[in-house]
Amino acid sequence: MSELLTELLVNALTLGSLYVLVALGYVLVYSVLRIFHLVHGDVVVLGGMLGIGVLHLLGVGGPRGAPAWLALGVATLVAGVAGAVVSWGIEVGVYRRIRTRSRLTPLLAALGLSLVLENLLLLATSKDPIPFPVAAIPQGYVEIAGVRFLHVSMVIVGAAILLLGGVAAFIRGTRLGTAMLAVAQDAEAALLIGVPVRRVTAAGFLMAGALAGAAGVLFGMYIGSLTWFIGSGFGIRGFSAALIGGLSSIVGAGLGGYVLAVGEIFGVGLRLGPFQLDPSWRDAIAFLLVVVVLIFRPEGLLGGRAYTWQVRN
Amino acid sequence: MRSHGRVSGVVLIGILAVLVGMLPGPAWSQAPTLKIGLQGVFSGELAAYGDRQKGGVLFALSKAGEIKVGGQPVKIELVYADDQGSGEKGPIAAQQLVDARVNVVIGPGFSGPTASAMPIFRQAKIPAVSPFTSANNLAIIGGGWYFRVSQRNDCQGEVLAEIALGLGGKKVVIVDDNEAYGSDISKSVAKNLQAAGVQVVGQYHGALGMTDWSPIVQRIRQDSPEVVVYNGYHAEAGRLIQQARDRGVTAKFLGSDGILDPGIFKVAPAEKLTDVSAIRTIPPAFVEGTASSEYKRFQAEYPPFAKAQKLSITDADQYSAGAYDATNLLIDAVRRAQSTDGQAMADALRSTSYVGMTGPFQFEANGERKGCRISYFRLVGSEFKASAKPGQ
Repeated sequence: MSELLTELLVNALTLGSLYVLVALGYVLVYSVLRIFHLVHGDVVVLGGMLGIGVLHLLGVGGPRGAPAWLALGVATLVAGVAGAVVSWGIEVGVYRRIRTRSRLTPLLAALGLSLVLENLLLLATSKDPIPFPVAAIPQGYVEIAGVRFLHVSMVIVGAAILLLGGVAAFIRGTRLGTAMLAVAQDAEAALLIGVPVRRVTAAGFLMAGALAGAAGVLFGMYIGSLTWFIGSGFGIRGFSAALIGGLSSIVGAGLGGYVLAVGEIFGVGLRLGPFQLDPSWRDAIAFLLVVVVLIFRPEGLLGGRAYTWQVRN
Repeated sequence: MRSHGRVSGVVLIGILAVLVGMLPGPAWSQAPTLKIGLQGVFSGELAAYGDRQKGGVLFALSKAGEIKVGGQPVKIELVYADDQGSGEKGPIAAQQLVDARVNVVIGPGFSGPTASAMPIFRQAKIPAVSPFTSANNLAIIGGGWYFRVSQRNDCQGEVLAEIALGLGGKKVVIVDDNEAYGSDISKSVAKNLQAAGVQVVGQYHGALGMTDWSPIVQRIRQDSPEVVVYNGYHAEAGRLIQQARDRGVTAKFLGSDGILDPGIFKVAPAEKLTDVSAIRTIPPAFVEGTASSEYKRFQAEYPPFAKAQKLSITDADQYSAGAYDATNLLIDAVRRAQSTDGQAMADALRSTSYVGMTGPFQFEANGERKGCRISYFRLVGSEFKASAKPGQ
């Protein structure tokens, strides 16, 4: 039983790490602009596909190709930069022009952009799934007490912790990060005291996009291939994680991602006597979790608390 | 007075024109038109099936020669309707075809949308010749207007159970994509395995488009079966098998005809797809190496044709062959019925006796294809190789 629990926990940690990276993007954007950036999941797929392209360009696995760890690092970096540029472009080209209109306008724009990006990916990939080069996926596992810790899972969890830590350090330790917290609390007051709100907003989008791009590479590595339409699925999971943790809380995004993954994996993985749910219940469990959290804590588990960092510090 | 005379003349000409229009079969009347509706998956991850459907139809039409009704050459028009393989979108696509006044449908491509579209075709009295649907209940839902080119899921389930047994399966896990096609076959496999005394230790459902199969892989590891039977399509099967191999599952994987698709290598690398086999709903005598001369000609001529049509997939496989057969069955029916009327074509289809690329055709009164013909393939490297069924 403990073997099963540990294995489920490892699966949940891996999946949760991916959800966290996407959820964090939603939170960063919502914090600075108060909009639901529903195109975020498609930026994840775009980043992942570009990352796969870079891996091919570097000839990973070939006789003269770059070492896998180096190629992966470069691919993640390129995907991150591409994600950041696309997200920033969306902010400047679309959201900035409509942010003062009704709250429904940016939401509809985000939905429209999601369809546009999905269709561009469809045209670029001729409908086919894009396989992640096997040579770039860390193979093998470490077995401890009968439980397999896959190398790929360890890389994903490690990368997510690094990225999450980086974002937290940036927000807590830099002037721009502090300015982001100020804008998140009250954009108008921040503007009055001289915070460059426009620059701060751009920084939020750049960070969210960079995380999305990096998450795309990790997603591709985890599931083995990426297809043009799966962005909305990633997006919904990330958004659900952000709702569970609290849309205005960076720590909440982290918690929400892991809570969602634990709920999904343990919900269908645990056997209670003769009773065990079929794995097809996984989506229902995930969304039930969101509904339950929204009923009892509409602001999310940690909604509103992240910005107390500044006060505590 | 002169003006009144002009009006009478115009009325007279009008009456004459109407009467001439009512005369039967005048030499200058319009050529009969056969409007064929193609309902299938023309976008999404499974759009390659739509391309095969389109390719098979276009290839058959290019080879059909002149089709005449009442001595007049028939003008053929194609109308496309995309249901994305989804049961919910089936009726919308079907209504588009009814509104376009098609005479006959080649499709739908998948069982889910066929089940939801057939009541609409039945009501509109439009026969649907379906190239690769396999759900058991479609002929019942179709009420005599659905004609199956492929094989029923029960037939696949029966053979898959036999093969699982031949592969040494004492404990078997059955997984599917929770769609009509996959779960239908799963039920049949489970029934046949249990009847043969094999222990079905787990039966799980994923979803179409599912990317993370870890909860199901977890269950398979717990169950430790000798054989896993997957019923569904290649994209999901590829991901499931890859993730299972990554997590140390060593069981043999056996799949329904939906997984036998070269697209599986785009989802998972060949080195992860070890110990994988699947079936095709084509009789063994028609698979490569032992095929008829017509089948060999189809194998040789179809790929360059599909390439010229810029289709995403150009293989002469059971899907393109199914669409080719569906079109030829329809042309044969039009020629015999000497009509493009829906009822006349449906009656002619019921009395079909024809040998196509996927074997001989005869239909039951309800449109069900007679017989059960299946061949077996193993994945060797990055190829599907026709093999003898294990245990035979």
